[in-house]
Amino acid sequence: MKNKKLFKGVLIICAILIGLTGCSKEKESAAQKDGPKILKVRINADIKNLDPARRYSRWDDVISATIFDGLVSYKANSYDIENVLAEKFEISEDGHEIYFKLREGVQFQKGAGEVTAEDVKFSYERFRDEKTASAYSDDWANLDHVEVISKYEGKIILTEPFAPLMRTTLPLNSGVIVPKNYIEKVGLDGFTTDVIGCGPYYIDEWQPDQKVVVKKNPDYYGKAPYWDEIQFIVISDNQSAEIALQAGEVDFAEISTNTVDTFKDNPDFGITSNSDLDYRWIGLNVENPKLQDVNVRKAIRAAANVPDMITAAYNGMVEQETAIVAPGLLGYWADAPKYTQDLDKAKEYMAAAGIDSLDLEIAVADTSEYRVWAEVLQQNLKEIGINLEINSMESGTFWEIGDGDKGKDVELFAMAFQMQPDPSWATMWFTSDQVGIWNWMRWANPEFDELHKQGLSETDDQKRQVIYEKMQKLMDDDAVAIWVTNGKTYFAYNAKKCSPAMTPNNSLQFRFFSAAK
Amino acid sequence: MRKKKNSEIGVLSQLVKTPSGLIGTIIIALLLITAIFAPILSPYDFSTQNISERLSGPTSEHHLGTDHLGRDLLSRIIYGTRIALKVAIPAVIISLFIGVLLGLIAGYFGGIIDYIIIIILDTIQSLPSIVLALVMLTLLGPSLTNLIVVMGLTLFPGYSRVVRAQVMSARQELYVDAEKALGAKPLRIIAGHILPNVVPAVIILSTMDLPAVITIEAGLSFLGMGVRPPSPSWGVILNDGFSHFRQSPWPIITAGAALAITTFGFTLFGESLRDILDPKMSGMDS
Amino acid sequence: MFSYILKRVVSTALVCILLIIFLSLLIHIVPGDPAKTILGPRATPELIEKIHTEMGLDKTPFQQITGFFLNALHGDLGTDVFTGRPITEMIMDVFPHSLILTTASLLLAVLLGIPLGIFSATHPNTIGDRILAFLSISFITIPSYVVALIFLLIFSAHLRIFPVIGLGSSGNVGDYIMHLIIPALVLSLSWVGYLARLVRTSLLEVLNETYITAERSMGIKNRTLLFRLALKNALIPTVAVLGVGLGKMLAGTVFVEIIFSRPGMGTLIMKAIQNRNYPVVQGVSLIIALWFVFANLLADIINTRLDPRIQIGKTER
Repeated sequence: MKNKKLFKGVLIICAILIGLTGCSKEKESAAQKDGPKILKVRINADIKNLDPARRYSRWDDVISATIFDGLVSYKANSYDIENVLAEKFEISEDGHEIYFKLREGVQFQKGAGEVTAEDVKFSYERFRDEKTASAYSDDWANLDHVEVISKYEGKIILTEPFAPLMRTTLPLNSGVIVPKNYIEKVGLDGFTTDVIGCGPYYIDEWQPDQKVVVKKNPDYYGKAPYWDEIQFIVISDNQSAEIALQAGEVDFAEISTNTVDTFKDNPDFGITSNSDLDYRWIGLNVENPKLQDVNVRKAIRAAANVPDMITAAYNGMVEQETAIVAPGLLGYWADAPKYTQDLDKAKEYMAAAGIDSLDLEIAVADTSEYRVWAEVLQQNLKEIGINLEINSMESGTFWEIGDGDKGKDVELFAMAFQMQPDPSWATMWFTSDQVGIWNWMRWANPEFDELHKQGLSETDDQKRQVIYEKMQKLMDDDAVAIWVTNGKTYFAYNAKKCSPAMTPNNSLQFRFFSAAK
Repeated sequence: MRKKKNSEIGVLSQLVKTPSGLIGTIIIALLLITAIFAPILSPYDFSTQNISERLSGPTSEHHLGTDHLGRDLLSRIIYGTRIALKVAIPAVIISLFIGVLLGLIAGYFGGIIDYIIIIILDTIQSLPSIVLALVMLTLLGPSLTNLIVVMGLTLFPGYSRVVRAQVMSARQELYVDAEKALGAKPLRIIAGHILPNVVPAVIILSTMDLPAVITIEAGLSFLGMGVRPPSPSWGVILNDGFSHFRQSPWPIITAGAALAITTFGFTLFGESLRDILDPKMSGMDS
Repeated sequence: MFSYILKRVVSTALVCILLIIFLSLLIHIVPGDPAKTILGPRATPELIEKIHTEMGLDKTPFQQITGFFLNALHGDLGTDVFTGRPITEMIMDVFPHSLILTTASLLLAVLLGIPLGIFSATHPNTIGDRILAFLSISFITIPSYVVALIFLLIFSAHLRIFPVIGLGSSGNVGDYIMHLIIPALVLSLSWVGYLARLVRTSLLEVLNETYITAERSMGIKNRTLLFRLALKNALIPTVAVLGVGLGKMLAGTVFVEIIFSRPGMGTLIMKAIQNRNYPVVQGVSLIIALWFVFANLLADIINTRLDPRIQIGKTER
């Protein structure tokens, strides 16, 4: 009969499906036993460009850090610096010159030749070249030129001392060496995702939106990494990543603060976390007529319940931030006031401003995190007679609202900036020439501007500490922002398989990942 | 004509005679009651937060549990009914207005005007409505009004096509041509002869469109392009629930159920209405 | 027939042109800047300018539109400024995944919908038929993203029989299929409902026609006749639904791809819209529109072949 045939057909198809999956599972597990050591890592966005000068995203950074080596780099799990490609590395006393001598005989991957001082010159000077259009040209802000002394020796010449150079430029992606001859041959378009470095891994395969595979560089001059192959698998959504981790589809993944407890209770998984350096805040536009009065701004700051925001948005798993420079960094202001909700004080400020009700709007990019902040703030401000409208917009639209004179209309906004481990990266966006660009608070303070300049060229750490503390105090006095959190990134990993490594600010160091401890 | 026989009460009494018509009518009646009496029915204010009680399951205080800000889910679902209807009804009216107008023009004039209109309809329909709405909302910025306008602009081609087809068949009928020959103005012909023929089909279509609009609205809100917080659109509740589904399944379950029941009710109602008003159209879904 | 196809091709071309004009104009009005969206504070004015030039945003809309079409005619949809990849390649990378997902869901719909429809038609007005009728309507009406979320809750948190996230490890066919099952089932539900109802209706129509009664009385075996008729009659609506289903591919897959983190046309265009990656938005929209129009044309032609009662060109959709 026809329906029986149909039924049989379905059965056969099912049988085939089950057979197929059965076979493949067996193969997979067999391969894992004696085959290469493969680490599977979740990344939450695909790579865009691995060229160190033209990288865009965090994962571009992390993956290109496995492929490239610089003169110096951070040691495993720290901010201490060690020589990598450099055999000798010396800074002149006036801070204007850096002498380096390369290791001899280091080869670029895929037969692209030996690493020479010419490559160093090329790698650094291209950041200032307009044709490269590097988003990171500021990393080399004071570079005059690189002088080649011999095949392996050279000098980095600066126009004036540049404090962040040793802290963030040289040990990170802006300080790595790329092959000059190869790039000149293939052009910029040939050096985007198919890059060549001299680091411990080389790029083997990129399946857009699916995964990036790097394999161990057999000719690596340094200590060989533990993992033979690392697969970076794109899973954009946190929930999905957590499921993949539990199912063993990935070994290492960033997880959301909401699920930390689930993984903590499970002995199969390890959790590691560090506070981020990023700073997140609710900004108040001081140029807006409604917010011009510092009392209004202080009232809003006193009414805001940041601990509630942290509970609701991060499940209470992050620390409240008190100023822009994160704890642990040079310039951290330890005595900064930590604001908690004080409605009486808020009402006093409102009275001082002579206002009993106000309509305000907060602009937020549409992510659940910022929406939660805004919703909590909305509730808080209701108590002091401020009606807060939430304008949640799609991120593309959001990034434009502070531009030029348009930015004058902004009232409140929720924002997060990324940060590198030098305080100048935090203060640079709030100088007066950034008004209408990234200084959406439109807060212009000549003293702050002057201190920022001083901070960049001062090389003495103690003096810099004083400068940056003072700058943060200036911001605090004017109540231009409600600092929310630096954030904290939690990673969960298969504790039976691997053991991770990262700098204190969560920059993953895959070259130092090892077997389970 | 048929419509003369069907006074409103007549249609309703016919509706409740079939089981599906009865269920559909009951669901819609309940929805309307919920929306109108939301302040009385909901136990709490839909936006009052209680962070310490966040993401709880059903308790005697919160019958459906709470969301990630500790807001009462039952109250949010109840107010969500208002949002769903507030968006869906005006959106359908807008698309109905534009759609009928264009359909009449296309069908009545025919020729090149008809061709141009058809191409425009094809263009709008060649992109999935959710993508089209998303692009337009990006332009206008998300808000309740923009949402309504965008949905209206996205969905009108359906009406145009139905009306156009009806007008074309009406035009075939002799009397229209006869009146034309007698020098009647186009407007009079449309109002007097064509429009009455189109009314049942349009009523059916708009009832069937309501659940579609509700679905798209919640979908857009789910993608973060819908109404402003703290408005409790069901899509927003789903979105929040999706971010916290490991901690509490209740936001997804409750908002999902509300959406499913609503679309189900409207479809049952619409189909039963169609069977009564225009038996010819039955079986012509998809 | 030929002139009909010609007509359709001309209107297809017009639809595409209009769509691209619409999108290009929209791009000029929509706020948001691609460089800033991706780079945030790192976007220097020079970089923004460079990206604008590469995306062709400094040209007038007219230049953009003509340029786009000239290139599109050569099969070139431009390059993604950020990765330097040809957009056609980006599309070809994800298109199969969406196509496979849609095809699998339609296949499931056929396997489930037709038997259900036959059952209802052969047991009209029984309790089983009533229940199926309600089920079909629920399947049709419940939004796909609600089903997807519920399935995600069930299969990822509690019942881990099927993996539901992503495509599975690449090169592993079995794993790919396992990852396909739940998303395909989610997408198929509404088509199951449609098919079950269509098959029931068309089958009942035939059963009520008199000639069957006549043949019955002549003693032809009841069941054989029934199933021959059933399958033949189920074929036409099925093909029609399949055509519509394929054409509407993207509408269905957007949510399923997002919720289950699958690469595909839906996620590609969503991401491009979010990042303001205009060339990609244009390219993908064009392909989606072309696909829709051609799938409909194909369904029409097949329909005419199957059912001579339908005259091509007279069906109005």
